[in-house]
Amino acid sequence: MSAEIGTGRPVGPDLQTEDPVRMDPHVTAAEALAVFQRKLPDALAEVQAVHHPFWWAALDVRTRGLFRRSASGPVQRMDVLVNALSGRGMIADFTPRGATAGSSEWSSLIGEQSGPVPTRDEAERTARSLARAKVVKTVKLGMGIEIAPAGGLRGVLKPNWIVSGGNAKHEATILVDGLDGSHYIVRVDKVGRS
Amino acid sequence: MFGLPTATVVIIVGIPAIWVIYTLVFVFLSRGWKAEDMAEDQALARTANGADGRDGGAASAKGNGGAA
Amino acid sequence: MNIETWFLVIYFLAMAGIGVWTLKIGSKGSEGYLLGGRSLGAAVTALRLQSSSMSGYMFLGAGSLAYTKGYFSLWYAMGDIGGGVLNLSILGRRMRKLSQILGSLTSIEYLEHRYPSKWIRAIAAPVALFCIFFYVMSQFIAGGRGLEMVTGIPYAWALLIAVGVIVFYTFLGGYLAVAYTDFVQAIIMLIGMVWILIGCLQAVGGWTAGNETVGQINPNLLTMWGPDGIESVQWGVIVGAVLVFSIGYMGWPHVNVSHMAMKRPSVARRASLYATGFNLLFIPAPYIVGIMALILLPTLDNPELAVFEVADTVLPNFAVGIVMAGIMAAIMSTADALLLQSGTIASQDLFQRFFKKDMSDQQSVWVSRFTVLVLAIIGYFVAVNDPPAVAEVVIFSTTVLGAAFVPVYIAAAWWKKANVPGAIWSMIAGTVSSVVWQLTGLVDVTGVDPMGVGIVCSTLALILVSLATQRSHPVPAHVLEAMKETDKIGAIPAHMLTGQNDSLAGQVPKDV
Repeated sequence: MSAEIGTGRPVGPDLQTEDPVRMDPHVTAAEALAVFQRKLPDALAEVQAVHHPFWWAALDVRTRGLFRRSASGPVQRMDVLVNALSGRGMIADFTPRGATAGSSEWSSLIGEQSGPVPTRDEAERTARSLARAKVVKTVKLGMGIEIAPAGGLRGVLKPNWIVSGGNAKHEATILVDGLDGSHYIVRVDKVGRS
Repeated sequence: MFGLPTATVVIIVGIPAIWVIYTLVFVFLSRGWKAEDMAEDQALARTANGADGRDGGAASAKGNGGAA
Repeated sequence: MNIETWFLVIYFLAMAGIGVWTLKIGSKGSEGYLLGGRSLGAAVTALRLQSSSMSGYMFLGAGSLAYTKGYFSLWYAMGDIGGGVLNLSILGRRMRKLSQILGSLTSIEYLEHRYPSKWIRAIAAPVALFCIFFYVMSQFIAGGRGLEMVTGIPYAWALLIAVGVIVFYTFLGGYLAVAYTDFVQAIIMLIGMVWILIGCLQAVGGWTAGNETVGQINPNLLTMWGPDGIESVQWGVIVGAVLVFSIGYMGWPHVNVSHMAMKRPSVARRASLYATGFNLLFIPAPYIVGIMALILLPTLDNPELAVFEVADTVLPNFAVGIVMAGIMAAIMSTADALLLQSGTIASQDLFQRFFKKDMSDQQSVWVSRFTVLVLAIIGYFVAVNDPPAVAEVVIFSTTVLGAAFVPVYIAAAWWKKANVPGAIWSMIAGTVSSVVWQLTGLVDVTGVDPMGVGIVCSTLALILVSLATQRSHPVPAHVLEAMKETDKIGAIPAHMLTGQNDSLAGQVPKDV
């Protein structure tokens, strides 16, 4: 199902992960095609499944009152995904689930990147600072915040669709998020020019 | 009236009356905004089924400047 | 201790109890907070808009203006009544929607996203912090004065206690951080104020009789032209008085943030009804009480105490206790909310954004706490040594905020050509012109209000600089697209929220 074949250089042990989770797309290929056709009416296009590597940090967030030393109250779980290639983080409101993928698939996706990729430590830091930024914005000033990782960093392969094709006027390639159906236009060309 | 000069009464009754009219006109003219509620409800229902992390995820990723 | 003091103590303890209690259940509900976000309904939005900006001024400033200037002071009320609806109708829906598309969580961050440049935040955050500090100080003074009157302790000690309680509440985490207590606070303020008004009108024998008695003191007090009569009226000042609390509101970053928290963009509609209704009942009351104080308390030393002293004179003892306690709670909670806001601006919008990006959890909270403490200490010493008039402080800071921010907030939602240089120069021109106008005394020389001057300067700067720099600094495509989407009525399409923004761009495979 996944189309990418590793062509990159080997990755260091620091960037390998044992059993990355390969998520299944919520958005079907037909829906991805429909997204494309909304942008380019009557377009013919080809849909290709791809996966993108993310570091997944599950964090336990605890708040405590000003006068209490120990943390109290319920623990709140936050799942933060950090793009393993760009280092950009986002807070997910789902817990990644899916089949276990081979670690070679993960390594080859990471190895594709020619430039520097974030290290494990950087990814973990990003995840924590993102979780903290989110909590601090809503928490009361007197509260302390404790963020503890629940388990180690894992790999997640997030599904996306690459749709390319065109109609009489334009040719385009877009990336459709395999989870929420949002899209990003990778390229648009007018037909007839080169 | 009320032991006040007419100009005072006109101003302190008239200007609030203008604001009341402004409010009513605004509420009237914006009656179409309900369509947005319904559209948002539908969008919300869809995403709830899809279990995606779009809203929080995208917003926080940007709010944090991406961090790295 | 007299009966009023007992009420006050009980009230403070009850509030502290609620604070501790909400701290406990608050952590239970924090998931809703973290991920639910934009969830406020119409009544809460409307009353929060009012209560987060009014209490100290209304109880001290408004009464003092009325006591010294008579019905002339109602010009401020005339603008103020429309402030809420103006803000909601012009900014409400658009700011809610645009901020959601752009992914902004604070109102200063929203400006930076709409005008993408770090200079926007570097200028907006200090100006906002500075003005909010002044507003906090006016709350301190109000709290101290109120406590002084109720308990009879000297002002310096009363102020110390008031500031201490405010800081304590802020550190406790405040039941106030929860938006709906602002709502409760607004209702308490309204009931207290209406109660005082009714008692006051009964004491002077009704409104008409009261006006007639005031007219015997000085007939000009009954006119809208000031105590010196129509010959010496300054039209520029009147225009400024109407503008300051109607348009000026749109420049308050901490008021505008409540637009972003609305559950639905269309909440603005119903909220405008509540806002106007609340304002009609509440806003004229302290001014009228202040005017009637001329009869009830002709020899008042400090006109700022007009409303409090009238309450003390006309209400039965138990009622004074209840009303004053409610009012004090309102003042303190406004102060505490504003202090919290300044702490957030200092730690999030300034410190973390510009000095230390990888601040740890603890550091961030400590920066906030430190800011709150420093502001409280400075505020205390200014307020105790040389307390400025509350009305002046509030009008001044609203003027500066209005002049600096009103054009950029309105253009952010409405004018697609407003760009980064335009916004930067608009904020600078508005701040500098209104401060200079005020400090150099040009107000008295020209009879023109700094608000008018500031708004004209900042609007002109925004328009001229934006147009002149369209080519060199075009508005980015994603902002334009977000604004086009905001023009439409309807749900935000999924691709607007993330698609064209960066988050998916980082997931494009190499070989595509």
